[in-house]
Formats: sequence, C-alpha cells, structure tokens
Amino acid sequence: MSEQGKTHFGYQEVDVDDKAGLVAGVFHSVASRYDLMNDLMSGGIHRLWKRFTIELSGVRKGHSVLDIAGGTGDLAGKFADIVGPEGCVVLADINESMLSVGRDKLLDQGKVEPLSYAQADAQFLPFADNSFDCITIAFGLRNVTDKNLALRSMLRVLKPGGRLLVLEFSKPTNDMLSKAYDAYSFNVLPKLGQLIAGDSDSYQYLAESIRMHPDQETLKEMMLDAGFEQCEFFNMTGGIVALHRGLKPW
Amino acid sequence: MVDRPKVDPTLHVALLGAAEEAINRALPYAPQTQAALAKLEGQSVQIFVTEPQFSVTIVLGGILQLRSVYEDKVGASIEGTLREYLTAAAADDPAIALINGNLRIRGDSRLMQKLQSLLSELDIDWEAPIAAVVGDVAGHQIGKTLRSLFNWGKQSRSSLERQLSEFILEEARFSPSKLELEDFYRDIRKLQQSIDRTEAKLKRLARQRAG
Repeated sequence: MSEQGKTHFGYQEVDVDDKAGLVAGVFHSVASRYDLMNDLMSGGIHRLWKRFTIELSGVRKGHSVLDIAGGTGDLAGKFADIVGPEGCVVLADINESMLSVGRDKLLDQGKVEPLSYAQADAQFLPFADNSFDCITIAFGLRNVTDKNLALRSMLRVLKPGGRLLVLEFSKPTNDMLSKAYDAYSFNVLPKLGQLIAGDSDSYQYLAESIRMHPDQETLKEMMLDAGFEQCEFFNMTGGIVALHRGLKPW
Repeated sequence: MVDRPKVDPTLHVALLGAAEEAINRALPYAPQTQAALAKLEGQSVQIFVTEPQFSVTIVLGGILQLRSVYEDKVGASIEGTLREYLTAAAADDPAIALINGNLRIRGDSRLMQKLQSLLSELDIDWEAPIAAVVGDVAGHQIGKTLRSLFNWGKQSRSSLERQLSEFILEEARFSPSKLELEDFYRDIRKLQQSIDRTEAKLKRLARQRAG
C-alpha cells in the first residue's frame, strides 16, 4: 500500500475500498473462460506448478484443507482425492462467478463428499481458529487488497504445525527471461484475453498486477512478519512463478 | 528428508508426471502386478541420482505416484551418479554393477528388489509421454534408458546366480574355482600315484633285501 487509504489495482492507484469491487469485476468477466485462458497463457504449465504445490503440501488422508481463491477448483479437486471421505476440503473464493464455475466443474467430475464451498474474503476468513492442516492460495494473493491482513487471517485458521502454501507469479531470476516475459505479458496476453475471453482490459490488469506483486524475498519477509516460521520459497520456471511455504508455530 | 531439487521444479515435475502417466497407463494391463503393488500401498522407494542431482520417490500402491519432493521417511533408497545408473543399465550383465557396489542401496533392500521385479514385468511405453514433454530425440534416449533400468529385474534374475558364483570365486576368492579344484585333485591324484609307486618300489626293495 503506497499511502493510507490507497492501494494498487494493476498499475493504477485506487481507494482501498474500491479494489475488491474492481478485482471482482475482472473475475466475473473472465470466470467462464478462466481454465482455457490459463492453459493458453501458460502453455499448460500451470498444471505442473499446481502439481508441485500438492507435493509440497504434505497433505494426507484425513487432513482438512482450505483452498483460498480456489476459483476453478484444480487444487481442491486433487486434495479431495488425497484426503478421502474422512478428510475435508473447503474451496473458498471471494468471487461468486469463479466459485460457481469451480463448484460446477468439480460436481461434473463426480467429486462431492469431502468438498464444501465458501464465498469468503481471504482477509477475514469465516472459520474457527486452528481448523486446517493446510491452506493453499494459488494465483490469488496478489488480488487481495491487504495481503498482510490476509496472511494473519490464514495463520489464525491454520492448526499449529499446519502449512501455508502461496503459489503466485513472481520475479524471473534471469534478465533475458524477464524481458521476454514482459514482452509476452504486455503484448500477447491482453490480445489473447481479447480473443478468447473477449476482454483485453482484464488481462492487462492480470499482467500489471503480477508486476506489482511483492518479489520472492519480500513475500517471504511478509510471511515471517505475519507469524509464520520456517518460511522458504521455490522458484519455478525461472522465477516466473514462486511457491512460498511457511508453518504455523506450535 | 527434504529433497531439494536442483533442476527447475517445473521440468522435474513434468518429467515425473509423464513417467507416472506412462506407468499407470501400463498397470491395468498387468493386473497381477497392479494387485501386488496395491499390497505395498503407502510404502515408498527413493531413487537418487547424485550427479547431476535428481531424485524421484515412488509412492507405491495400485496407482503409483512419482514425487519430486517427499518429506516422509522412505522404505528404501538407491543412490549413485547418473554414469553409474547408465553403466548399470547398459551393461550386458547389470548384476555386475550391483555386485561391485557402485549403486548404494539403503533401507529395506527387499522392497527395492520387489519393486524392481514388479516394474520389470510391465511393458511401459516410456517414449510417448516423455517425448511429449522434452521432444522426440531426448524422449527416445530417456525412454531407452528407463526401459533398460526397469528391465534389470528380468536380466539380473537370470544371470545373478552365475555372476554371484564368479564374484565368490574370482573377485573375493572366498572359494577355489572349479578349474583350480580340478588341478588340485589332479595334483592329489599324481601325489597318490607317486606315493603308490614309491610304496611299491619300497616293497620291491624290501623283498630284494629279504631275498
């Protein structure tokens, strides 16, 4: 946040109270084509990033998992298979359109039992303290208005020893890659957005919001400040994406 | 143990994902193998390549999982450089590699052998899914290596016995070889004959003296 009462919406500076509504607008607009766009934009690699997230989650049979900003349910569906009927997976998203697309998709896959759904704001999670063994937030944290508040809220609802995994776009570690990635994000991405989802502005926002998101070290510091311990990050695809992991102290 | 992958996790996960798909696609065509693997549900085996650093943990069950990161205790692990794996895979007789101890096995080695023998019974099409990730040329090479590695069980079962006997005889010299024994017995027979002849001579001399 640059000054009191102001925050970023991509490269624009907007009132804190307005950001959630603006972000909601973006996701209402892209929800129906979100999966297709993710595949096209990342060349399918987002599936690999999510697979690695699941490996590092350490989630097992019987665990309770909260997938925040779980949108189209990729992670929640996989977690449901792992935890089994004796576990519990909550798919949460602040955006109604994304949540219903995700719920429909999982229902279509025949996944019912350990799954439940909650329209929830990551900053004010509506769950009891110490509820979850693992919380994931994939490509969601950068859209949250107050990231520190959200991290503290996640810490509260995690069980002691529980893990938070933040999968998010980050800063490429190589200059050449960084330039190519910039060119792609600002030239190709909005055009793809226009072509597939009929909305170039939303994808322009996505590209901008990625650049405004804290880099690897900054996010790690934020997690430590929020009270997580053993925080670490794993760069993927040359740092285009990073997976941060932190544990709630016992 | 926390395994820190040196390769980019994206590539690591892509390769393992492709291999996992290839194995799990082959499993239903070998129902006995699948049933035997299902009995080992939850056990895990780690394959460690030290140079270049690469690892995979195979979580056993009716459906196999290949994990780039596995933080629980594994049942067994095998470790060696890529060269050692490739040498073993390419060897006419891979059992030599095992006997010489280039690849180090820790933990429950029976679990490792069991997995190897079960996987060797599968006819896995490695090339197609791996080529989809890394291209045809690399896919063919990696596929060829994997095929050799996973056929170890078959090759080694037939030759292990012979190799083991060679090792005991030639390398460790715990026991004389068949040829050496035959030489030894021939020497004994010669000695026996010499003794017999000497004895006969002595008797003859004794008779002459008495006569």
